[in-house]
Parts: sequence; C-alpha cells; structure tokens
Amino acid sequence: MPEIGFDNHIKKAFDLLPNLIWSSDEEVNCLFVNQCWCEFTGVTLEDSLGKGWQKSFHAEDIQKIESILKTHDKSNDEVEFRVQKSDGSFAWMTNKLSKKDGIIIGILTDISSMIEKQKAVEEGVQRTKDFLKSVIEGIPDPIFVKDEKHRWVEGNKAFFEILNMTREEVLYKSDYDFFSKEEADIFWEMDNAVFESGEVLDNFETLTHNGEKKTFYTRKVMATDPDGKRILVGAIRDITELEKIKERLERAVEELTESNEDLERFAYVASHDLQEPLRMIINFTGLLEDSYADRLDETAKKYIAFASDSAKRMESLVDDLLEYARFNESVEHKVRVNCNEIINYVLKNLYEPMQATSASITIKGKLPNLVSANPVRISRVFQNIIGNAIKYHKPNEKPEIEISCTEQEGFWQFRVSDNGIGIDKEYHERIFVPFKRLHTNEEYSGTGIGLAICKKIAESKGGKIWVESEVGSGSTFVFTIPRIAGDELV
Amino acid sequence: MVDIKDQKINIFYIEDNLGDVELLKKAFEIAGIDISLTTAKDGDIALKMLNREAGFSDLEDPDIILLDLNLPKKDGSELLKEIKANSELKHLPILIYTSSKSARDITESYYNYANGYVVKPSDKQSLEKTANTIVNFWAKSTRLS
Repeated sequence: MPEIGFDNHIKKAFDLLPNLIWSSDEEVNCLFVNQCWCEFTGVTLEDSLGKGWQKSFHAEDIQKIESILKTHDKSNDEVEFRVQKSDGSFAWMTNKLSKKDGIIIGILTDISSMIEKQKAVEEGVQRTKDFLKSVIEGIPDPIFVKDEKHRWVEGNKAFFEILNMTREEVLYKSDYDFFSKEEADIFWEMDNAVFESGEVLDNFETLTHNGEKKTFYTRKVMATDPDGKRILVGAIRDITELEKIKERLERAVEELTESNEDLERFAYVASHDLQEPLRMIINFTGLLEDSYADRLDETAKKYIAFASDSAKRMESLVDDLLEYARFNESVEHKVRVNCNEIINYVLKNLYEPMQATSASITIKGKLPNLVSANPVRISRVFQNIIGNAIKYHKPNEKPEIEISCTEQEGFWQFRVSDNGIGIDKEYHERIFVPFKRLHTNEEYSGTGIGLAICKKIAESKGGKIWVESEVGSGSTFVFTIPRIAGDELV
Repeated sequence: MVDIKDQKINIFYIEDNLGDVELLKKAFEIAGIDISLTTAKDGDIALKMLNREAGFSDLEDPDIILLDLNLPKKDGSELLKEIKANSELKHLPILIYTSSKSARDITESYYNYANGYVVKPSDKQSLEKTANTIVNFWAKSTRLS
C-alpha cells in the first residue's frame, strides 16, 4: 500500500466524488486531498501537502485537529471543524474518519447550511413564542396554566393583576396558598374533573373580589406542555357588567310585558264594560222610536236618531277595540289553507259592498297553500284590505282590485292593488295606527281599527305590512309572512 | 211530549241591571210568549233564594236559570260553579246570558257545566230572536229530561 493510504486507482476515484477527501498522518501532515477539496479551498494538491493544508483550517480548530489525529483510535468516528473556502469564509464540516497503520482518511460534508437552517428554525420558533406571549400578555382576560400538581406555572399580566400579586409570588403556588380551604377545595375538584375527563369545563361563579361582588366565567381545558406533560389552561372573564346589563334587560322586558298585558287587560275590560250601557242606550232608543212614534214630533225623532246613530257608532268602536285587545286570546292550531279559498271566503263576506259598487277582483298568477296557525287572521287581513279598496273607490269609477303573491327570500309577499282615491305619502304610516282616520264619518264610515289589526296580524306572524300609493292613482297594500315548511305555490 | 204553547215558562233571571230585566220582558212580549219571571240582583241573593233560605222558602224550581256573568259580589262564573257543585241544584238548566262574546268567557262557562250560552241582544231586531232562542232551548231540554 502506498504511503498516502491508498493506491492511484482509488485516488482517481476520490477525485470524482463530490465530497472533500483527505489523508494525513498523526502529525497533521497532509498526504492527499482530492479534487473537490482543492476546488472548495482554492488550494492546490501540491500546496496542501505536508503542513500546507493547515492554512485551510480555522486557527481555533488546529489544536483540536491535532489532538484528534493523534489520539484517534477508532476505525470510524466523526469530528466537526471549520474549513476555509476559496472566498475566505469558513464552513463547518463534519468529518468521517478512518484510521489504519497511522494514516487517517477523512471524508467531509459541508454542514454549515444545515446549521444555518437549524438556526433559522430556532429563531422562528423563538419569534413565534414571543409573538404568542405578547398576544397572551395583551389579552385583557386573565389566563393561567396549572400543572398536574395544581401549581400555577404560567400566567398572563391580567391574571397576576386580578390576583393583585406579582408573577414571582404566584408561580409554583397553589389555590391553598391564596384562597380559603373551602374555595380551594372546589377549585381542585374542578381541576381534577378536567384532568380526568379531558373535557372543557365552563364555570360561572360570583365572589367578592377586592370588596366588590363580581361574577366570573372561567373556562378550563386540558392541554399538553412542550415536554408532553398534562397541563390545565384556564381563562377567566369578568362578566359582572354583562350580568348586570342582562339583569336590567330581563327586568325591562318583564316590566314591558307586564305593562303590555295590563294595557290589553285594561282595553278589554274598558271596552267590555262600555258595551253594557251602550246596549241599553241602543235598545231603549230603538224601543222609543218604535213604541212612541205616534207620540213624538219630528224634532224629538231627529234627536233620538242622533243619539241612536252615535250609540251604534260607539258600539262598533268598542267592538273593534275589543277585537284589537282580545288579539292574543285565541289558541292557535296549524292547518293547511289555500289562499284562493281564503279569498273566496272573504269575497262572500264582502258580497254586499261589491254588488253595490260593481267591484271586480282579479287574482294574478298563483297563490300559495299556507300552513298557518289561525287562517282566520289571514282572511281578516285580506278582508280589511279588499274592504278598504272597495270602500275608498273614486266616485263614478268601479273598483278594480288585483291580488298577487310572489315568493321572496323566505317570505311570501302578497300585493293587493286598487284603482281607488289613493293615500298621501304623509299618511302612509299613520293609517296603521289604531283609530287614526283620514276621513270624516260622513265621507267614509269606519272606526280606524282595520289596518291596525292587519298590522298586528302581519307582525304577530313575523311579517310586515305597508302601502305604496299616491293621491289619485290607487293604492297597493303589501304584506309579507314568513314562508314555513309545508307552504307551497299551487 | 210537552206542548210548549200550553206551558208558562218559569224563568229565574240573575241580573243586576234593571234595564236588562226590562228588555227581557219586552223581548218575550214582542215574541208573544207568556213567562213567569223571578229575578235576583246579585249572586249572593240568588244562591239564598235557590237554597230556599229564610224568606224564600216558597220559590218554585225554575225551568231555566238565566245567569249574567258580570254581577256584583259573587260573579256569574263563581255562582255557576257553586250551583253545579251543589247536588240539590245542579239539575237546574243554566243559560249564561251575557253581552260578552269573548271566547274565553264561552269556553270557561261550558267548562263549568253551563247548559248554554246566549249573547244578549244588541238591538231591537234581535230581541224577538233571543226570546225564541231561550224558549227553544227550554223546549229541547224539557224533551230530553
């Protein structure tokens, strides 16, 4: 065997390899470097031989290399040192060594890029850690981490603030260091429940904190720390203000419901009690007109007629008020109804005014089958709107009414258009207010409750009602009701 | 079968409003039906009379009780429950006679075993009709009993 450790044939083969290969004796005298080494270091084989190659080592590594080459006795081993590249920079190399008869052969791999990559990864991890920490620190809700021994091992700023203690005072302490035994027992019990079940635990509790009564919402979840140990992460939210608002809201709703009920009861009782004396007036003025007709002069009869008409008018007001107040009374059952049937039923009820005015009614397109609780109410809406369309027709013009229905996002939209006198924009809202009227009783009779009832019905079903109209060019009343399962166009 | 034309119906009318009593009389007069009418102006007195308490021992069993719901002291609904819970009185047919058209009042009355429910006439045209309704109800319940 030649003194470089291998023969010419092997040497040529080494020159073809992409690794840096060298051989040396124990005194760090270079016997051979391959082509790859020469290209990497920029030093020729001739210049490298003997002590020549040492100028390619990092000054700090030479001693290490010397001792390795002397003491190295294993046939295979690894060592790392820096080799200067042709551009003057140093690269960390890992060396696989082989020693035989005092000659050492080394094969080098450039690991500097690997080290850089690892360094970059480590920096990235650190940045992520810092980012997470700053996020967690910045969260206004207190957050803490406990280990399996129930000791706090981490916490954010808000957590130490709520305990009114420093990080150092709290870490590695447990509930028993800060709370009464009873409270600490409860906390531990909850912690154990989370550790045992692995499930999220939500807890609401009211306690006195810094002399103030506070309500806290705590969520505890089990997690694993970087070392694979089970930990408990807890987040606390102070919901005292929220609870107060909720309480106020609930009370307000309760009061409102109560006052609404009172109002309805009042309207009901008032109108019911008003009916009694009215009935008396109507009946007895009627009897007076009948039984005493021959004993009364014209003026007396006129006075009685005024009294009787007013009483009848008041009776219809009271009737409507009662209907309005009684709105919530009925029990609702769901049935399937066909809108065409509803319209037919309504038209029967409106037979007289329709005949009197020669009104025509057209249904444009298809109307749906509805699954409705209380279809009478839907018929009431149609009856009031169609009734109005007939009543408020232009003098000397026959009422022409058109009904249609379209399906809109989740709603049925019904439109009832007429060619009547129309309504000034100013009154488009007001006509839906109970007892608001736009005409004297001499012009058009009525109590002013019809559209208010329509509005109440539409809204009770989750829909809306409005009018599109101008004076002199007819009106279109539009109402919507939510489309529910089972509804269909037929 | 009873021929109603030959019978004089004995009506016990519990009503605080004298005007209503007057109207009921007028209604039967217009319908040409002869009746025997006893009245009580509140629930307490009505119950005393029906129980034949002191002073009322000679009251005959009425053919029909007409009961107003809106009464002073014991109201019509309470009185209905007491009569129908009383084994001596529960056989008496009771017609609720009221101006209320409320579904709640109607349901509650039948729930408390009222035998019928008649809404008071609201004008002179319906006076006669109401008188006939009451007589027909009586005739029917007589035939059934």
